[in-house]
Amino acid sequence: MSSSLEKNMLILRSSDGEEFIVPEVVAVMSKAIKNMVEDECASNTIPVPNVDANILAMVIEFCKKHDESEAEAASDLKTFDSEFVNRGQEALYDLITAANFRDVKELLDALCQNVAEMIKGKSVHHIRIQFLGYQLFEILTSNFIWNIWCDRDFD
Amino acid sequence: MKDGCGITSDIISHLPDNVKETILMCLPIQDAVRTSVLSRKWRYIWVKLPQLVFDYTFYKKSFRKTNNELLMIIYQVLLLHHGPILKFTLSLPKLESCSEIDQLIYFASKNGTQEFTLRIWTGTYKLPSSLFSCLQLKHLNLHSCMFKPPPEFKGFSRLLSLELREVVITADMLSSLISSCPLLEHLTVESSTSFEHLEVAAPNLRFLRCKGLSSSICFKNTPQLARVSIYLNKEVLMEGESSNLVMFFGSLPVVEFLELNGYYVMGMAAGKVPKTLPTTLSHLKILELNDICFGEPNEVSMVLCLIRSSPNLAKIKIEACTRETTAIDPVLELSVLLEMEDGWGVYLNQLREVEMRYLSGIRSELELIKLLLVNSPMLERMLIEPNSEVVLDKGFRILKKLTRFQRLSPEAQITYYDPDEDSEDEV
Repeated sequence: MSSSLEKNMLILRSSDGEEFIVPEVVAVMSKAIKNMVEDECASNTIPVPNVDANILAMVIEFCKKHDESEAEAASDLKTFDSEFVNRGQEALYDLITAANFRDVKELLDALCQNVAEMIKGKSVHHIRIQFLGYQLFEILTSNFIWNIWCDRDFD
Repeated sequence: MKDGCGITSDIISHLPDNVKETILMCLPIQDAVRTSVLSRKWRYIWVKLPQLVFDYTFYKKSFRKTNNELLMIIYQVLLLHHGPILKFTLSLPKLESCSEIDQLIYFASKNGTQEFTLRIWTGTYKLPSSLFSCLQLKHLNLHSCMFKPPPEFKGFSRLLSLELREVVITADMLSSLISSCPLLEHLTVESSTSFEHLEVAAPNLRFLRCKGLSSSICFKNTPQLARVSIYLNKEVLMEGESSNLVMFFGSLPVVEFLELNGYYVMGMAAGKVPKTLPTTLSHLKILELNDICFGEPNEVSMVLCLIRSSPNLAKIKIEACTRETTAIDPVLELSVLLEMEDGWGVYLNQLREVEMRYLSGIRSELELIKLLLVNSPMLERMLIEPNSEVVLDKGFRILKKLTRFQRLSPEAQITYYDPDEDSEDEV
């Protein structure tokens, strides 16, 4: 199998067994994979446990774009990033987990920035309902920073 | 769902702490601290944040609090905070010089701060000695402070970037500060007051930006300096000597980007303008000249000298201005114009992009455009923008002349920018 594979290409296998042929330069944007390649403990096929085909495809799409567009205008890449990370919460969670576990810094930064944008300026009440799955407002013990900054949340 | 009583699952609380921390780092400090009341899992996440930024966003989000109230909040945050503070920023609008700042700096210095920003808005604040003991500093950014280190201060041995704006410091002190930061890569000095003589000895310096500064800059040891921007104030120039302004290029062997303003170019041209600089700027790729007065033959001549000394230029950007000119020597003016008409016999083989802005359409401007067109075989794009205050016919006259100029590069496109219509037209 490896003979038919072009040079500098790697195969990534997702947790559900699907295989992706990816240029090495793209794959090593994951520091975890980079370490494996450098230590030569990786055969041509690298298993990516805990990441299913759906999410792995997204991560590869992101890395490919970032690899290609090194020379491109930074603003274009930013637009791509913000569109890329604009997903439902579940996909977002899976992507963050994958990016963190595989150590893909650019992706993790973009995703965290996106979550931060969603939280920014929102009241505690809002964040609890939207992200933490709270339905009823649980009154917390008083906290003086809360009093200083959060009094407007009760408006 | 283990805690809470919701129906949807808790998406973000289950993320690893390092990810939560990355998320919090993208938030203004208020929002970050506020997460402590979200749930038990979030309570102590923010307290380990390695960066504390109290800046305009913090100020704006604090709903018209006085500076004393803001300082009180900062104290509370610092009391609760735990662990290293790698980045500390204090830049509140209207922040006056006061002794509380000493305590904050002391706190930051004890907690391993590597990136420190302080902006004072009213008055000049004398930096406390605790700042000078922050030897782990990598980035230092100061605004309106008085920089007077204790005698035992030996420099910041790990400092990579230094930005000083309106900082009270003597030229000697600044020179010795620069030379005592051996790793320094990035230096910005902006000041409305002037220095007599600044010496830059920084073996790792790559980026230098000086504004309104010294009438004489001496580069002692700058083998890696690649990007240089220098803006002179007029007053500074009149006091100082200008002859050594030209000489410093010899100490910039690898300069790639050079940005100068008209007063500096004028200063360089004060003596007799040489044909070429003593050293060829063979690495120079981008030359940006701002506020160049094309009515001054000396200045134009210096611009020519700079271009001629930089054979590998890829981009030239010139912004013209109309300045009150002193009596112009007509002989000199003619000789400069003739020089341009004769052409160079030197080709700018790498030149791809030219921008000429705020043109008033006088002869020396047009001659320079002609010269660049006829000597640049690889030129791809030339942008022309007239100064709409001076040019009344929407630049029609300039356009008419432009169309007659020969272009050496078959690819050369001339783009004409009409400032009134905010659109670009191809000629």
